[in-house]
Amino acid sequence: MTATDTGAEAGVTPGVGPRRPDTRRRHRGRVVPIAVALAVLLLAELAVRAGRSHLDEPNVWPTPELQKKFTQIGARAREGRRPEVVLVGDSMLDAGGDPAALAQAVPGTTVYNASIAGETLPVIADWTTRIVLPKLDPKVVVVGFSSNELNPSVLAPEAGVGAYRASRVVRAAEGRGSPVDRADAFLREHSMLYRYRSSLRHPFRGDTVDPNVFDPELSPDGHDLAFADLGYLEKGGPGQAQAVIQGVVAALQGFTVGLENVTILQEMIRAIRVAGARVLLVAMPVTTDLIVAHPGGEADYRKAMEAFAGVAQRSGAAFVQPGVWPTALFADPVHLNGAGAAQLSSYLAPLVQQELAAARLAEP
Amino acid sequence: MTFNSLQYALFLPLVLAAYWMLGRRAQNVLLLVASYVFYGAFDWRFLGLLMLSTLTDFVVGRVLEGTDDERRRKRIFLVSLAVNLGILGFFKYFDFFLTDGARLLDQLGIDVSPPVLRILLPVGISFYTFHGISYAFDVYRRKIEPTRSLLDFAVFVAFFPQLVAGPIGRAHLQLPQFGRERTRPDGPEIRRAAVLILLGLFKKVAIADMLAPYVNDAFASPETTSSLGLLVGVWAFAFQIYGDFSGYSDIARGSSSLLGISLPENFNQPYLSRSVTEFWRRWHISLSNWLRDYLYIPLGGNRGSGLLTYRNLLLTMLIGGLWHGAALTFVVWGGLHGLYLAGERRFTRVVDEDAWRPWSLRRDLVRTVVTFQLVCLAWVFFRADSISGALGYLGGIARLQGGVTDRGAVVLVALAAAAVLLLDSAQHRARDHTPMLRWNPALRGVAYGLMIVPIVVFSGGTPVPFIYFNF
Repeated sequence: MTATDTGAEAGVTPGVGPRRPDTRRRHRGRVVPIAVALAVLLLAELAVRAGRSHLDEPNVWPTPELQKKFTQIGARAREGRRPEVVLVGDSMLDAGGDPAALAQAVPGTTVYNASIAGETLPVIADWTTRIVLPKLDPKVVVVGFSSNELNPSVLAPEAGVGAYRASRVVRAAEGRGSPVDRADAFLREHSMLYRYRSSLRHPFRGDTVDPNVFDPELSPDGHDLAFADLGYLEKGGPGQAQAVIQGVVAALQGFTVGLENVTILQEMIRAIRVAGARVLLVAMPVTTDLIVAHPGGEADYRKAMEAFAGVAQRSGAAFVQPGVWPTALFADPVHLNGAGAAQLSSYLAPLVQQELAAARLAEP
Repeated sequence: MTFNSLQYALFLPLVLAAYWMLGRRAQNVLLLVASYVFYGAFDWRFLGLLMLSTLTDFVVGRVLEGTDDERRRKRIFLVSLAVNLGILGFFKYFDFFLTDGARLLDQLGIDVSPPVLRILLPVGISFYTFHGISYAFDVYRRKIEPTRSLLDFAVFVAFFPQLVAGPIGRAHLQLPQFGRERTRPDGPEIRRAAVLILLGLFKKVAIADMLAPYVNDAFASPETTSSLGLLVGVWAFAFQIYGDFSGYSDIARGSSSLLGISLPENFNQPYLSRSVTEFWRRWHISLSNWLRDYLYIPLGGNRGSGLLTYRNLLLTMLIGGLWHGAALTFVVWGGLHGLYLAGERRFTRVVDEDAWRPWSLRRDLVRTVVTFQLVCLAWVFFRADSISGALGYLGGIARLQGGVTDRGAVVLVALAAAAVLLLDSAQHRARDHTPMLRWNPALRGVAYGLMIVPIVVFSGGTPVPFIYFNF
């Protein structure tokens, strides 16, 4: 070892004085790659920030429709475009509730359809109380269901409740988030590269689309347009019509009016009323095909209607039961088409107007 | 628990932190517990099988040591073979032989309706049973001394970095490592291991998972996809499976090296091969070597006549195909490779020298491209759900049919191919799997950054399991 190597020539104590050149080079060899890699990451982050207006909001909800409606509701809340009337229900009201037609029939009001297709009563109740009410603060809520939502089978985890409750966004909202969820939320908030990565993943065709996932086209006011232009059992031809009817029969298998279902609905309406809104409970219009699909036929359907009336009475909601409508107004035994949605708007307009008037009167 | 999961990102540092505070014996105890936890995270019910296989081979090794009677030794070795192949046969092939056998009998006019048990396939079963067989076979042939430590042997079989998808370990290389003090990796070794893990994650997440949806689309609807789309689909699968499996091997080697255990190379730029013979020296090297040493050579290898050699090649590759999965598609895949190897042996003389000759753009480009296409042709059978599906796919390419061409897929496959080619060329030129460690610091940083950004982008989507977990 030479004097220069030890630093003795420069008059410094080895190990205390300035770093030797090879140590410095080694140190630079470790620090520079990390610094440059971080710079590359930063550049990518800045590029995504610059182009984020062209990117789709990432999916955090378990279904595309929940995601889209969450985004629409969030935008309305941020921009102060809260509607006076909100529709909540399953796919029957999602397709059958046309906010534009209802707003036209009730002049001077605004309407948003927050219904969710494919979800069941407990999910819709949770979605309504956790997201819809706090963000939109409506004066009137139209709640629309039919007999199938009172069947206890909709409470099974495989009916969608499990996926909803297990989703990261619901876990976080319920305070059940793990440290990983919290880290994810932190990164989503602070890094746009991380937040928009699902949009960046497939730049040429959007995120991977699973054909089995229902992803309807929505109007800006939340109307599900998937059934709007269809005649009765027109979609997919006769084979598909048979499959639709089989699906309806399966959903009503072993039909009874579930006590827990009734309680969930009742609690949901109570929560809406506690939030300061008036409630109009609608037993959605149906086809004869739907009624005969119940194992006990019309008797089962009547039991369900009595249960809805009882819920409305106990929870202080107005209740209407449009009953059986002609198939020309339906796309299938369950879902109203565009003409049916317009008809429902006309049917509901005077009742909504009445509830709105009462709500406005009650305002301080 | 997969290598690209957050759980593993927590699991490995925790194991490492505890591991380097312990002595040799305690390190092995920790490794065994960690390996069983790692395996149990997939499905704890199959831990019993892993233990049964381990115990059988250990006892077989010990009993073999105590006898010189060749007939008895053979019988004892057959116990190991029967247990390991019995486990493998039942869990992997029972339903296959039952249903396909019944289908064959049905075509002969004999109606049988066997019960299908829908047996679950334990993850990694093909790998750890091959570990055990190789150990028992080597002890039987007196190539290695049997170990006296059940703990060392159990860690060798269950070592978590290689447990579920290899590289397939060889007792003479690995067992001694568990029997001696390990040296804590120094700075350069840690950097090399970290770069291997980063490379593996990049190949898995940013190449394989990125290509997966395009491959799925092409193979799901070959009748509506254009010829070009189908061609791009199979090329995409070639890069997907390479990224997936070699990425796994890189992470396994990197993780293992942080534990002071060296694992064999499993991939060596296979798509730069100039012949299928060379491809098999570079692709899934640990399986190729296993098949060579425990199947091809015992069958006679190339010691007999030309015809016998071809038979041995074909048989070895057919069994190699069946090892990958219980389906006729894998048998055809193996058979095709067997035919390629036999054909090359018959018609070309230079294939054996290729592996050691430097790659030249001018001389080797055409042969490399042809080899890649031959490998891709076989990949169609490997990826398709059925023989008819594979033939339909190939028919779609051959007919030059019109249909959908996903332009996005074309661009992304080209990007993936470029990334693989760049990485492989750099590795090939440097004769090193982590060539970037020799680059200047700024360039190295750019390379790391360019790998990390796509890892961030492609992580966190729908989880795509490692393809070789199915085998």
